[in-house]
Amino acid sequence: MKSSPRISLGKYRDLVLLIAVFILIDASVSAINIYISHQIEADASRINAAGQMRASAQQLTKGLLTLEMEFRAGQPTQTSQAQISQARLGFLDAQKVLQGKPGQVAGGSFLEPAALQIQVADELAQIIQVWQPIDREVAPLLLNEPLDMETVGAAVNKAVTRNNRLTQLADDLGQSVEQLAQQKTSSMRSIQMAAIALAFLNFCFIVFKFIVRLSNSDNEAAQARQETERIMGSVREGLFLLTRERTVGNQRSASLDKLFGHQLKPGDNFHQVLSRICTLENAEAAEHYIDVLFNRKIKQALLEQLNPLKEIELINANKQRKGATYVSFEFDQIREDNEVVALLVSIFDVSDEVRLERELASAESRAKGEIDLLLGVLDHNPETVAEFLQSARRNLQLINQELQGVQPALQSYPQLINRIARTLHGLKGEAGTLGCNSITQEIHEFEALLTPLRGRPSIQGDDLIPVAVALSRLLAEIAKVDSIINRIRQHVAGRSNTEGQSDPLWETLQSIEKFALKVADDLNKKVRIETAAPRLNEIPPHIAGILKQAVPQLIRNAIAHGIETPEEREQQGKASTGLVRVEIAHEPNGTLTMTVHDDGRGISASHLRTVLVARNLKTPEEVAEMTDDQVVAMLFEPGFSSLDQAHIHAGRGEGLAVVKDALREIDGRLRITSRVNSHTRFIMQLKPI
Amino acid sequence: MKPSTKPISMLIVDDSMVIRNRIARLVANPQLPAINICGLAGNGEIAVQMARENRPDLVTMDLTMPHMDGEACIESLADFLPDAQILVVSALSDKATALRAIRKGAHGFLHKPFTDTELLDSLLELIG
Repeated sequence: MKSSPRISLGKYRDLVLLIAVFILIDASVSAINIYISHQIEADASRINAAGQMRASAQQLTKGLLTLEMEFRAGQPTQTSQAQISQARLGFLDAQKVLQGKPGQVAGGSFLEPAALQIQVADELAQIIQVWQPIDREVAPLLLNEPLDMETVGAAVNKAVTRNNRLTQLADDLGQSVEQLAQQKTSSMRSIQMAAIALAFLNFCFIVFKFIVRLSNSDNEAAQARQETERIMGSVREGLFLLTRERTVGNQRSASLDKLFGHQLKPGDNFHQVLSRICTLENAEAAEHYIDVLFNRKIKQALLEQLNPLKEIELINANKQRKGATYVSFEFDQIREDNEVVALLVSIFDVSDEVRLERELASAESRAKGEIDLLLGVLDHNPETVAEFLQSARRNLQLINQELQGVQPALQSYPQLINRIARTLHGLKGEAGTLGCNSITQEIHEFEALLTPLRGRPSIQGDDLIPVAVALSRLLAEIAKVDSIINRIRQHVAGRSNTEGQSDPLWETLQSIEKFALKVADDLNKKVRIETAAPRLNEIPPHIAGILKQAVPQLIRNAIAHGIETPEEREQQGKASTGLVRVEIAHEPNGTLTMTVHDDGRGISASHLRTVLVARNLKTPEEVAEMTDDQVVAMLFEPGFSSLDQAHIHAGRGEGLAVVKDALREIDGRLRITSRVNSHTRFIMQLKPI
Repeated sequence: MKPSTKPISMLIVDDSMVIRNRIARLVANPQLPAINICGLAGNGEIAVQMARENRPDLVTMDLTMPHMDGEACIESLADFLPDAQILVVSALSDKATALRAIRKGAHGFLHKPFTDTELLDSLLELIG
């Protein structure tokens, strides 16, 4: 900014020089004009002087003749004497002028041809030579003394004899001087013409220079404009300057039209435009953000995280606008003299990025699901998983047949729904134990579908259609896992028989432990699993059933209902990690006991009473009459859960009912011991077969 | 800012001790000019009191705090310390609230959780 005057002087230096020369030439022409006029004046006076010399000579002669005549007649002579004196002085004056005495305009002789100068000087000298004898004779006549005839006669004689010669010479001199003046005038005119021509040429040159310069800078400006237009026309980002008045600047990139249709014009109020193209919330936030950016104390780099116009969806109310669906705005402060004078707004079309991000996220979650499935299944004995899948398929197909053959009756629909729910919950526990997460998820969704049906007073045949659909989806998922398992089994079969004797009970407990940790992880609880079991070469089938169905349910209950959150445990002075212990032991009488113990919050009969009333399962009166044991026994009723919200691991109220059914099948017994805030222990006693 | 001979004084305001100590530790980084921590405040009230006593040049400010929240605290600090540079360090996902805090007189925003580099860059930008 500060250097600009110097730059412009440098740019216009030669022009300034030319103008100075022009003024100089003009001044010279004026000087020459003044000089010429003086010279002409001087020359005129010289020509006059030559004429005066001639006239004075004649006047003198005439005066002398008159004096002689008057003197002879004895008349007074004063008048003729004065005439003679005047003529003589006139001659002397003219002589002085022609001789160039001081006080006269001098110079100019350099313009006079030398030959003419010499001629004039010669002629003047001759005149003076002729004149001097006359002057000598005349001088005594002019004294105040009485005249004598002799003096007068001599003067008259001199004057008359020399008069013709003098006149002739004065004529010649006049002509010479005039010639001299003419020649000088013409040379001076030539000089003047030359100076004027020079000045004119100079002027033309200046104009030419000026035009060239103007057109050059015009060209440069046009080129710069063209470049800017090309940039603005082809840059992909939407670009414009936002003024302090929050209006859109004049220079804008053509891509703005592609991004916004024709909704962003120069001079538009940016906030109004924003409120048309994005949500009011975003527009308002943007207004505040822009206000802050115009504050000179704020640095945009420190505020980028607050930019509300990142990846915003553009409103497309009438579906007519073409262009981007998602855009990001970026703002850059433009500072001059430490004030933010404008914001450079860049707008990027991020539709593709947002779409790709979403596709990637869904692909990732799909891939993660499949990998989870694979990894989960790989953790377990493929034979066990295959067995589970087979039995699950069999159970579900049975249900399918029932679903098709069910008689429309008041009781049969709800009964069927309840049976489906119980089967599903059992399968969910087993699937979870075996790491078949996709099946667990599918069953969970299936259960969510059943829950509203179970609360309904009457169920129509149509209500069962979504149930059938969910059932076929579940079967499809099972088939998918089955195909993976079969491939793993083939792979394992190819290299089996090399390993030693396996310990099936230990393997089962391992998968139970994995399951427990996963449940705890899903519920954000910390759990340590302890197992204690005798070594068995094979698991008796009735125990296998309990291990597969009942134990996972009990563990799930222990973690979901028993173990508290780490914070809660700390508040109660317990270790933040809860303990779940699974023990299997042989009694001396051949009975096998399986214990699932947790050190959680215990079962509170009084809490259960309030839940029973709150769920409208019992009236307050009925509850008041029940013993604590009876209240706890309600846990085993289908559909009872003390949790308010169902999630994948609890809250459907099926878990303990499944345990009860499984035990009933093999004539087992179940005991519960519990103390509030201390522990809960489920003890299953299985008689030997 | 102050001439380089005098170290920059800084107040750290956050209700989490972990965050306060982390910021204090990062401030000793050689990339930064000499910064003298003049106070660690766990809520807005203490922060205002410390700021009155020590008049810091730099403040890092949490928004959600007990007793006096960040917004009120910024308003108060901007009133009697107009030259202090205030950096909001918050986990707040609501941009509108954060912007409101900025308009009350803060100068920058850093989202929690932040990396060491992010905090250093923000402080350098704030000082520079």
